[in-house]
Amino acid sequence: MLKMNGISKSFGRLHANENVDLIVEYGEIHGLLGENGAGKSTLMNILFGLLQPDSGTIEVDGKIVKINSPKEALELGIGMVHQHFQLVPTLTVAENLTLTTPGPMLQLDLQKISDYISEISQKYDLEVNPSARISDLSVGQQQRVEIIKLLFRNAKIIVLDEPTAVLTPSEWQRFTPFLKRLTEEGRSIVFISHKLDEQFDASNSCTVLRHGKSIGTRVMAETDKDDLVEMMVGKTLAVAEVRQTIASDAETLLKMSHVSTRSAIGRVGLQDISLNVKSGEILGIAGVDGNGQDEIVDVLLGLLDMLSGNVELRGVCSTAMSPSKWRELGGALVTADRHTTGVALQLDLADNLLVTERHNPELVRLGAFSKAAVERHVTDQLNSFDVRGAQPNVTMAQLSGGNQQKLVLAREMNREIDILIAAQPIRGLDIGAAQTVHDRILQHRNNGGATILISTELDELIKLSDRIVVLSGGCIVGQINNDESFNFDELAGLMAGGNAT
Amino acid sequence: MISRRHQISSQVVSVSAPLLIVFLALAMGLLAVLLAGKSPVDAVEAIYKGAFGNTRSISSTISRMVPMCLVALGWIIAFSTKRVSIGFEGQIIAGGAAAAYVGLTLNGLPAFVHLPLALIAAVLAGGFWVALPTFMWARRGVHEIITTLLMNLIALEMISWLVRGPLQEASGTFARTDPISANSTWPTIIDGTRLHWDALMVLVLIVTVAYVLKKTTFGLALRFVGANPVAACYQGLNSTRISVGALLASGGFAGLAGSSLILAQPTSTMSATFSGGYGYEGIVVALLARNNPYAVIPVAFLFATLRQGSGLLEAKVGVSSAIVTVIMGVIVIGVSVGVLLAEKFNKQQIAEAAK
Repeated sequence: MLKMNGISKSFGRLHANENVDLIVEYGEIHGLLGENGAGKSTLMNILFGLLQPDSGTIEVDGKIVKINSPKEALELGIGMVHQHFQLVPTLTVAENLTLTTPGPMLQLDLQKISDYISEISQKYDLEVNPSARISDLSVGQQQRVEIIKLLFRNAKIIVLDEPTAVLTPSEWQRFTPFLKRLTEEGRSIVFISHKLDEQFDASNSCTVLRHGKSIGTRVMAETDKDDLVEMMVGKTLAVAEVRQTIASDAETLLKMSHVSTRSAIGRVGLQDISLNVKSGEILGIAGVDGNGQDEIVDVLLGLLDMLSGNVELRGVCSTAMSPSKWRELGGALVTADRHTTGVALQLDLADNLLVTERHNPELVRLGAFSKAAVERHVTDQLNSFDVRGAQPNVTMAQLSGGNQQKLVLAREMNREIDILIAAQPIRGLDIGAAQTVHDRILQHRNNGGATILISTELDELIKLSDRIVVLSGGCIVGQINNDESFNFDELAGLMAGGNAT
Repeated sequence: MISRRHQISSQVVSVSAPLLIVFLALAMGLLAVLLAGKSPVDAVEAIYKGAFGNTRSISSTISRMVPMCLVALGWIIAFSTKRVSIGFEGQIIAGGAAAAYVGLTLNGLPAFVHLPLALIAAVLAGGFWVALPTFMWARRGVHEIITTLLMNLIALEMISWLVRGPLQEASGTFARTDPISANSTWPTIIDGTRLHWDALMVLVLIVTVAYVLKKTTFGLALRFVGANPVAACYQGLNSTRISVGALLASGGFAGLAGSSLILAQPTSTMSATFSGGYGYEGIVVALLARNNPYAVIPVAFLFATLRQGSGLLEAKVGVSSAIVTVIMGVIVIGVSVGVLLAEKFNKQQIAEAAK
């Protein structure tokens, strides 16, 4: 039995885990549920010795243990299958297994390992050929190889991190019986997923994390979706900000009609998405991360090809959209993942602020930045969002996450804009800064701007949005007007699985 | 917020680390001389005299800096977008061959037309030689580090064929071309020496590259793409196209380096070995200069001194000039390790400062 007791871990002022309890019995599949940022990764990093908890204990089979590395975890019988597989694509299945085998490499017996794989493969009906090259296997097969790797090392507790993200629905249907077979032999599985259907499919019980705290553990047979959703998102006390009635003849600034895109590994396919945002309107997009939010942004910016449908910006049908055209037409974008898509960490603050100003005649003469104007501009930008203590020549990596976000907001919002896409705009910000950001978005709305607000925080959506659409699996599963008729349970129901109550 | 003390200490590291490496490499070279039973003092003296003994040797040392600096600039431009081209040797050959061809064929043109034409041909040929690897990278993601290296081998074969075939001297005696038209060569700064006016062109180009990278919108685009190509796309930069531009420009610089090896030499013929390894040495110069265009000058000066001085070392002290290659080799290894260590140190400083 695995028992994590009162685990706490803080990074600066952020409490990533606060008094988290997790008990996993042998012979069960135990679900771990929670939004991105709820503290699942931190908890697992602590279990595998990548982080040490500030307080709390880990017990394996009744003994308190201290785990310093994934290797030590594996020696205790705890293994993990990561979202990104740790396999060498050019080697065969058997060769990959030998890489993780302890002992001197010279004594390896590839035949013995191959026999073992064949045996396991037959026993569980896995169809894994020991001499097949990893790069020739499907993603689902590679996942099974990862599990065989752990079985080979005698893991008793197997953690699966978002295993379904890479599986097709039919692969998933074959995967659950396999997991159940493993538990019948007395092993236990920790199944991390924020998809409720899958938790009900596979898990015997599950623990919900929210904002770094363990909210509770439920036996699946004794609970339902509504209960779990409420645990995940919490009852909200958020109240809508002062509304501004949208004139019925307000101009529709942005319109997406019947947009569909191709799905791929790591890419949700959008299905028949239609959205429109009017001048002075804030459209909220709710849904768990990875259900099509990024894809909608990429389609709007012209970075992702549509299979069908079209996008109109201020009445102009733009088949050839690009990020620069988006900006020219008065668009602004605050991306959800600033490190990947927002900033260049190695460059300094001035560079990160100026990258979008390359065609600004006030700052650029004959292709070169004019020094005085640039200095004024950069200082103004940094001050306007109170990027604390930052000198323009400090590199982006040296700023805290909150200050990085403020810089992005300054770059995107401190100019004439009509349409704003704000994805997770307050992620990583403290309350004061978050309020500043929200005030700016409302100010933008009051000036007649259109806004798409993408957030996993219902509080934020309810506070700001005029309408909220709910995304699930690349589809819009429902739309709710955030007015007197607003009903929280209706929104929660939509998020739970698409069947509006 | 990082403190001033941390910033200063990391600056000290980034300047002092290369100096330390060079010093250690020189010490090791002299140790080898000592082990060979010769006097290190004599060796230092020989290198000094060989490189700075008289006007001729000083001129030669400076003239050796020209192709090194040009290749280093090419590397800096490509690497500003994090593209790693090691095909400069081939691009030098292509550029030199194109310059020689223009020099040999368009006789009768006035110098102010002929020389620029030869230079333009060299730049285009250098760019052309990197175009195929660039295209393969842009379209198919084939890593340019392999393809540019392989293009070097093709260029080597091509040049040995050219000087034994279509461009061989009329008498057919040696594997080299006829002397090219004097109107297409660079005039000398000091008569009777190797020092030509192309040295001034290099100086201008160094200032230009430094300015473009640091102050212009295009330079920012290059650096942003290099730092984060995905984010660059979201900010409206076409990362692929910009990287392609950088690679082609770097080829142009190497082509220009090739032209200097033909158009600014005492013997104005082209042989099969004229590229002389400058395509690789220039990369080391850029790395040791930590991709700073201005720092290229002192580093190239050091390398040119060693190369130029090594001739006299062999003649006077009786130590193989290969010792200089050993010293350069140690510098290369030291730089590779040193850069890693310095980066690690900087990261630690940042991490500590962030706490």
